[in-house]
Amino acid sequence: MSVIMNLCLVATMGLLAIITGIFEDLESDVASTSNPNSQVQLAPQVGNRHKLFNRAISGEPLLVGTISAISGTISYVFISMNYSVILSLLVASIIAMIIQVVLSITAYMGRITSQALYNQPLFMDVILKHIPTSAAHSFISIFSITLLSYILCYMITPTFAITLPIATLLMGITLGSIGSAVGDIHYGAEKLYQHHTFGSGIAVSNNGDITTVDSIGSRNSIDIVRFASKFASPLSGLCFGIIIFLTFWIYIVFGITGGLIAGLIIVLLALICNCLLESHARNKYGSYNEETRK
Amino acid sequence: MIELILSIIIGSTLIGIGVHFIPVGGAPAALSTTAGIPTGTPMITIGMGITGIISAISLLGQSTPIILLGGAIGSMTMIAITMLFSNMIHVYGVGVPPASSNFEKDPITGFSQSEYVSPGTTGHGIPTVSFISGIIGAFLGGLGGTLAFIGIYNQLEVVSILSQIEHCSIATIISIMIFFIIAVISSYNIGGTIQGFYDKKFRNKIVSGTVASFIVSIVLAIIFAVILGGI
Amino acid sequence: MADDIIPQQIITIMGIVGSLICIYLSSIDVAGSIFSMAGMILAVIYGTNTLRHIGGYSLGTGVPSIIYMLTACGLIGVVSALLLSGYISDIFMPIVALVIAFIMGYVISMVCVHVFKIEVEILTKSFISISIASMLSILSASTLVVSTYASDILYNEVICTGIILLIMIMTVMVIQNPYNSCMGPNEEQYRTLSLAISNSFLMIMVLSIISMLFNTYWYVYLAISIVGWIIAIHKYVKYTFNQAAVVKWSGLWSNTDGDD
Repeated sequence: MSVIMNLCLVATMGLLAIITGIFEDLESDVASTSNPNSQVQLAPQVGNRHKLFNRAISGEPLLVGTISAISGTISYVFISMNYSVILSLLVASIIAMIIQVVLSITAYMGRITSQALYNQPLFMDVILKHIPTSAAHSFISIFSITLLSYILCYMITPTFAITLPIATLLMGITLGSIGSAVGDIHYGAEKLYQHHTFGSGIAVSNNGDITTVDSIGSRNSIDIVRFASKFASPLSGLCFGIIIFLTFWIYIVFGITGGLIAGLIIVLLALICNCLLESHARNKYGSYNEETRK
Repeated sequence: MIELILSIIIGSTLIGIGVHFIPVGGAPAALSTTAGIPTGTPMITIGMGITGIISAISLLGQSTPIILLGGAIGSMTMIAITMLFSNMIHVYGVGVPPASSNFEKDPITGFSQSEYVSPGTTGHGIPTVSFISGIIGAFLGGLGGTLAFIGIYNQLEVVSILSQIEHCSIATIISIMIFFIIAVISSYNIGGTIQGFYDKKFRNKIVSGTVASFIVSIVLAIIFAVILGGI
Repeated sequence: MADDIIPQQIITIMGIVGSLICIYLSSIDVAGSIFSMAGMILAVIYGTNTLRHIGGYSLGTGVPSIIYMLTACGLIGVVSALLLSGYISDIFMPIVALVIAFIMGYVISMVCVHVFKIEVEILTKSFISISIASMLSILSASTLVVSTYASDILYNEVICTGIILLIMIMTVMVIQNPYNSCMGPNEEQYRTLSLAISNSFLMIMVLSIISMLFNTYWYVYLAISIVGWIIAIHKYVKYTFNQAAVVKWSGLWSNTDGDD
């Protein structure tokens, strides 16, 4: 009976991980975090002024890790004082969301002001438009990751020997590095440079030449979120969900030594899929011949 | 006591060597301007190491070789799936095949690289030889991290009298500290981007990276042996 | 990076001496945690100002990576001093932590200078300063939560439950965020330090809620930190509106190059 109960709990953890991954990547696109943000900062220096949100708090794993750890520790405090579980998780997520919002606002104001040399205006209506969307996405992401860690620490049957603050920090740092490695490419290389032709990387000479005008006037980051929600965010959610699900599932179903062999087989499968993907892309796209080289 | 010192020294040096194998592109890789994983070296190393420690904690109580293998396989799974999904976004979202202008021909699949690189860039995506190099790096890093974690946990079980959860928490805190220090020191050695073991930069940098990790790990092992020797 | 209006030497002395005195005074009955708050703010100001000096040199990785590594050295100092509490008496525990953080920062800077051959003149001094600043910040925050600096209480309540990891990651965020957010050609010391003070009050709000488990007067600390945050953020917004190129509440950017 406990095997079936563990399987159901691990499946719930996988589902929560997918939701967390989707909304974390969307939130980092609304507020333009980490790697593609270097282009948004470079744009005023080459003469392109813009109305995008420009947040430079820190790298993405550190930010997601800090906010998750704050939420996990506050809910640990409330649970130790015997308040109800769902209420503690909700209140902790709301407090962590408020802290992320405050950090975003001060970071936006700081970076734009430090580049006053290039005459980029400090638009205050950008803050009023983007912060509610960013707060909503981050609340769903923080609540899911805290609930995921709660299931890991308190409900799985051979007890996972770790406390709730440490578990949320570990999950948060892993989620941040995956979201930065998978989801940011679609935003940076595709949507930010939409007026360049599809099908090539961004040449070094084109850095800073981002698209600043869109269908009704100036482009803002809400357009980017609608675009990224079609491909990049589901893929990053799926990546984090598969990793969390497979890390625990192989030991429940196959036992200990069977689980190790199953893990090796999964790694080999990923390698074979990568080779197939590479050869499929080469055959379908063809090489850059002399006509298209400009 | 001797096992503790040896496990911290060997574990930290393995982490330092493993970091050099992972293909990292930095911020330009997120714009498809450079090949590799599009994040910084310390970040992806810490993420990989943490997944390895989570796998090792779920296997506590078995014999030591099984825990070591479990941690290594956890790290390998995380890096392999992350690299596969990153390549999927490059192929279907941006429309570029994985290629790198760092080497002429991929030695394992035989694909030639230079005419599949976009003009003006130095590559994008993760070709097959970098993928295999990333898996080897994750194996070494996960193995080293789990070795240090097990050494500290066993020493705490012998010396102290608290419960299992508290021993595990202290061992996790110390392992994460070791990861932070060794990952950033090795990334100073790499100094930017690297494409795995098939890169020319790899042969120049691997020796100084190993020596630096070894020196820092000796200092860490002495400090931990003194404080964990008698609580 | 702009020049210092308050010199680095004064900030160093105020940071180390002031923070140590505040840690020792944190065992007083009700007002002890208020001294811990002051200690944490002084340590964060010290760390941020040092980062402004070293951050301009490109060391091969980004700005947060320096702080990850040196805060881990600070945490090793704190954990070592607390685990050695059987041998040394409580009164020497912060000094031992300072010495161990100093040694770790010195070893790492020697590795960078001699093995990697990085040529930056202020590297050793800056690395040791940031390591000590993060150690003082972690220790002040820990004494804020439990309202004393006795080693066995700190060990049982802060380390064994894992709250010390939250304190470490908050220290990393608070020390590197003001410089990272205000980086650019028009960076100015008063604006960066006012952001540092407001960020540390934000983190002290979280720590006051966590100290609900151990203190009965947690709402007093929460009220003080909210008032402090409002004052600091008011100063930051005033400096920002004075120094921005132009502040607009609607409309597009202007296409001319002059300042309107």
